[in-house]
Amino acid sequence: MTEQNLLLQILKKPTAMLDLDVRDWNRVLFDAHMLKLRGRLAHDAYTQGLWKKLPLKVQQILVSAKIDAEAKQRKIMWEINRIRRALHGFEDKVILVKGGAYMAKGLQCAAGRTSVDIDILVTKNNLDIVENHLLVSGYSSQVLNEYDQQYYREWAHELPPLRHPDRMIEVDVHHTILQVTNKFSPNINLMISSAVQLEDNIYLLSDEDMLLHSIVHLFVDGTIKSSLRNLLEQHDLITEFSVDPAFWSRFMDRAEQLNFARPVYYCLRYCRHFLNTNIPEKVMIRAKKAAPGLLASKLMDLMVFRVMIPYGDGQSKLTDYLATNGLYMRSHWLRMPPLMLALHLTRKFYRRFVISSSTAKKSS
Amino acid sequence: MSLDQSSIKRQLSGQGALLNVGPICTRVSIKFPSIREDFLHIYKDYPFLEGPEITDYYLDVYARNLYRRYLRPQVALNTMMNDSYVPLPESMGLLSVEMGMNWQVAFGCKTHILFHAGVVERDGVGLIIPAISGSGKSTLSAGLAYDGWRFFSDEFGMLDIQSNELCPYPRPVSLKNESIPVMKEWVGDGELFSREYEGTPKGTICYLRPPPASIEHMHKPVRPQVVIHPVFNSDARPEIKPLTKTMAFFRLVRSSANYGDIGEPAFHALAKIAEECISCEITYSSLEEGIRLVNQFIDENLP
Amino acid sequence: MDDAHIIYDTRSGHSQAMNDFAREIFDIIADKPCRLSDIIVELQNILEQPLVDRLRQQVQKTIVEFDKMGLIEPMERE
Repeated sequence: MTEQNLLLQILKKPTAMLDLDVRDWNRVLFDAHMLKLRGRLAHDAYTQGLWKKLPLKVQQILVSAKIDAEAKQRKIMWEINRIRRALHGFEDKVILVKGGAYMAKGLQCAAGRTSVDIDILVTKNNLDIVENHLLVSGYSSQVLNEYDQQYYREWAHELPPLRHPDRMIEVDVHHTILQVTNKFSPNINLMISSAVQLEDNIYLLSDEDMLLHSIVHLFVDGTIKSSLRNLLEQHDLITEFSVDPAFWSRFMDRAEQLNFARPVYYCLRYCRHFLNTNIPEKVMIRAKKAAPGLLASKLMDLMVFRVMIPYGDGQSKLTDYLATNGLYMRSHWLRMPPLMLALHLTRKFYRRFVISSSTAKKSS
Repeated sequence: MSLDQSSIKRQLSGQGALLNVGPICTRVSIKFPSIREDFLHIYKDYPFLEGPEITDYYLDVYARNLYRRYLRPQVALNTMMNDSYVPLPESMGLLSVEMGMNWQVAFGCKTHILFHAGVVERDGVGLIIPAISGSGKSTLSAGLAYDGWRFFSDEFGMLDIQSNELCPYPRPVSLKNESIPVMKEWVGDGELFSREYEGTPKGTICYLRPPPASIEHMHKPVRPQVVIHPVFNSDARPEIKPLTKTMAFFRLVRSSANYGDIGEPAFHALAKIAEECISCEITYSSLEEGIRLVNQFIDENLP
Repeated sequence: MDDAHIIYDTRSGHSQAMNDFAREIFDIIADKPCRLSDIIVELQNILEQPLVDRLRQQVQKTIVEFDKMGLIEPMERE
């Protein structure tokens, strides 16, 4: 079913853009818009020499997407520059992760990407020092309220988001990559000590860890809704890193060492399924050892197939909703112990209720 | 190419009708008959395309549920662009449509430098009227449009980065409060106006259809030659204040919605306008006076 | 432009205006990395007279502004 999706076909084979009619284009551009992949389409069209052959109107729409992506990347790169300036004199590692790292490293998966915030990783004992440097340089905390502030400090894996008033890019300072309560939470010191220097005190994760982080973010931490973009990111990272023949064994060793074998299995399975990622059979067999039981596998398939591209025609909106929210519950479940989860969700629900009843009062 | 009214109405209530204004094609669907009436009245002279056409934006005006459709009708809006509009009562539905389209252009369009400005043209002279809200730029642009100028926009000046030309984007003029009776008197023909929407967050709002010729020529660009920053003050003495080129440049930057996104090409384009156009600030106390000052400045300064 | 220099910073995407004085300082720094004292020596060479205190303060203020705009950065040792 998902195989029929046109956007997916084009991502795999950009020259298929040349065979689209007006209706096809509308469908592809719509999906790409919702999944934040228009910038990527524009990039593919340029680099594959297809640009001039596209309908003018498509060029116009993709130019907007391209400029938008370039602007966001310029802002991110500039923010990295400003963070480096703010942390001048801080001696330890400041590790860029996610979008900012891909851009700084000039990776394929950064092409056309539209990140709007920056994530950095530092050791836990440096958290206060780094926060202080940033505050002194004019950043301010986007703290919402006492409860959230407390929640961040106690349970989250990051500081409450910081932002410089002149630039409005959110900077998230993490001390680990998963919530401390998550059973997958890795020995973060291993990742930090393997980080590679980029410039001054700015570092990047090693290739293996960079990919693992992306995988964990999608299959353990995040919601899987509309995350074709994240899967594509993993596909790109795999494709780019595995040019080095030694990559796969390093990567699989590392996955097992950090206890990420299960999410890695999911990543490889779905990358291959959706994007035909080139993964050696040997690696696949090794990854399968960490596959879940048959029933869990089937359930996961069912949910992921449904939600990876949720806007396709002819699918029931209700089943999509249930599948998506099933995955949301699931990722929350992994993040927190059950009692805490219940508390957190009730509070969230309660707050939403309060907000909606107060707006109702205002409008009546 | 263009469709008859009944087909447009059918499309509006279903999958959406394809409205074309300047370089932009929007698929609009409206689930409320009363809002469809208002919409079709103000967009009467505009081209609706038969399609299929490649679509820039999708705008869906709907009711969240049956209660909001029939018992306490309320208009929800989906621009597919991260908006968070507060639903309006059905009687103000047209405002939702217009705000939605503004939002989509303001955040989606990067092929053109967008100025928060009115734009008009006469004898091949493109005039940009950048201003903050409340300076009377809508009234001044519309006043000029119904005084022999060709209307491009009262809200979104669009400069094509490739050609350095202004593109028409002649959406209906949005008039507020005191400017409504002023324009009604100026234009004369009441049929060209929408209903007056009272009690909106911005007071009373009324829309005005641009002259038919401006809509007909919505694909004909012009080179910018004059920039006039209007300041409306009902007690002030009329005044024309010249601007230095640096001031002219930074004022253009400030009035542009997407300058920062477009980056270097926008820098060069605005520097070129600041360098080549004649620029000034005018202070005026009535529409007639504003128009007189515009003409005076152009006659005295345009080579 | 007629009364100021306008520059576009391709990294930050910001446009900045500078007067002639700031522009001189910017050109000196753009030439090679230097200290505050180096800039003052260069300016004295250009103006062919010692800088009065007011101008020295002006230089310092300009440098702080440049740093805020991200046009310059501190080196390892300061």
